[in-house]
Amino acid sequence: MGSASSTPTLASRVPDGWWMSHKRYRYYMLFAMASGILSLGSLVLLVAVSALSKGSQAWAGFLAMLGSPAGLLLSVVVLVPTCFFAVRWLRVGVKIPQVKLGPMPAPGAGMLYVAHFGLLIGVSLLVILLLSGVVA
Amino acid sequence: MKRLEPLWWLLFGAGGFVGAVLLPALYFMVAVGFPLGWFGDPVETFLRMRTLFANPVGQLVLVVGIALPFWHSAHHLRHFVIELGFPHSDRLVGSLLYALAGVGTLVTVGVVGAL
Repeated sequence: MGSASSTPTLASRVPDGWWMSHKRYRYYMLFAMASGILSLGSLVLLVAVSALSKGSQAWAGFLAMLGSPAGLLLSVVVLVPTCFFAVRWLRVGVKIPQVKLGPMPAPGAGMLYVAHFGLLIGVSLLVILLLSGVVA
Repeated sequence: MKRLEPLWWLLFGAGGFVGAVLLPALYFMVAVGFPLGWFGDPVETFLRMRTLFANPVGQLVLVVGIALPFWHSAHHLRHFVIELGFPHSDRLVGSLLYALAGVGTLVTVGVVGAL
């Protein structure tokens, strides 16, 4: 091989519609869109906190808005991709090459699955128990 | 923007973690369970939420839980646009998305701070 050419060339370009060509690619793009929808969930929570800071009337108004058919539809639009994102993100995390630290063997995929989904279930239960008032 | 790439990836990872672990249950409770009255009437849920979140620890949880997903979305959508075949728009799109995430974070800090 000779020295690098100084001739300018166009950057390589992926074929149009490449992501439709394989199920795995389509799934990946759904994942990317779901991660965008996370922000919509954050925005709704931001409105909730704003209502919470304005008093009980504003809070009741916020709940009435989200309890309407349009509000519930919005919740489905946010919650379904958010759950899809959570499962996919935690599964991807298991596949990241594991780093061996110190004398302990690197954890296996099975252990990581248990840790990741155990954390999701544990945190979700804690949030539900705290917010429902079961645990004061 | 390129020089800050490690920071974008850090915020992306942290936001993904928060979005995966904390957001589903938090969103379910606030946007479905409370409006449908499954966990008490609005006055009860108002008092409970104030008790849980109108303190420094609760406010920190809210800022982290709400703001970090903005950064995750921004970074992921930036790469989404590149992968759709628009790498030359990266500078513009990335700057815009990170600016939106920054504004979202500032607004979050302001709104949560008012609790």
